[in-house]
Amino acid sequence: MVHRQIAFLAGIAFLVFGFISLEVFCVRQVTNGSQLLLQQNLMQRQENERMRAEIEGLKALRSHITAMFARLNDAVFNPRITEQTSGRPRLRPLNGFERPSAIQAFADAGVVVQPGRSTLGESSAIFEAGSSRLEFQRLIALLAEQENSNAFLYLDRLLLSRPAAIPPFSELPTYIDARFSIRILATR
Amino acid sequence: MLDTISIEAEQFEHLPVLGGTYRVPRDYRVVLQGLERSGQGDGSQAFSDALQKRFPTGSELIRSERLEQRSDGTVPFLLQYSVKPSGNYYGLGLKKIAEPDNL
Repeated sequence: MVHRQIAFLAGIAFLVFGFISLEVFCVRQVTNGSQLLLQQNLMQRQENERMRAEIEGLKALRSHITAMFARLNDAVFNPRITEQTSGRPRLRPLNGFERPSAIQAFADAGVVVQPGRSTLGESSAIFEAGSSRLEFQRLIALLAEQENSNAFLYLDRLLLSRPAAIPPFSELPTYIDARFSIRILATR
Repeated sequence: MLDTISIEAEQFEHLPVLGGTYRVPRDYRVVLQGLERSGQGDGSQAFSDALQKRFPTGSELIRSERLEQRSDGTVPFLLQYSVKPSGNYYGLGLKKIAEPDNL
């Protein structure tokens, strides 16, 4: 009888010990899991901070980006303009006098500019230009100024030559004969 | 003294843009033809050396030629360069018009 009671108590004690061990194991597992989550949370927080700083930086650059976008967008030549005809917007091609501002600046400086033929499949407008009324230093400054005024403008070809009537080594002001081809990015 | 200056874009790269492509040059061929007075040293060589220092990195002299002296005592010369586009002319002594966007 006594042996049975001892065995029963021992069984109870074993069960209690088992439960306590299981509980300790579970608590330890949960603690480890929590620590892992805590570390992940900390890393995520740092990442969030980094992203927030990046967003703040982008926000600060917004006006700069907008201005740059506008500048690049303005540089793209649109050969058709939208006009209102009886209250409805309508696209029409430009006439010969409507041209990109850089090209107009060439014309205003005394350069004769004519539209050239674009290659099929290319989004570009080509202008053939010529001048015989500009001196070298004025012409080069004009070319550089207009090329820098438009991010997508460049010269395909340029030929500057001394007029045949001007003798070599002449120290008189000389108007240079200039022929050049200008390319500008255009919408199609 | 320079008689003619010729610049021609070469080796185009076709960049895809909305609605087609836009070709941009990877190289420029610059040809200078001029005259120098004989007996005044090698002026064209000095000019070529000075010019090459101002061209963008990667540019090179392709051809340098001095022809026969003419009856008026001048010597024609020809210089040909391959110049890499650098996006501006400031290296050639022109003033910068505006600061470029720098994001």
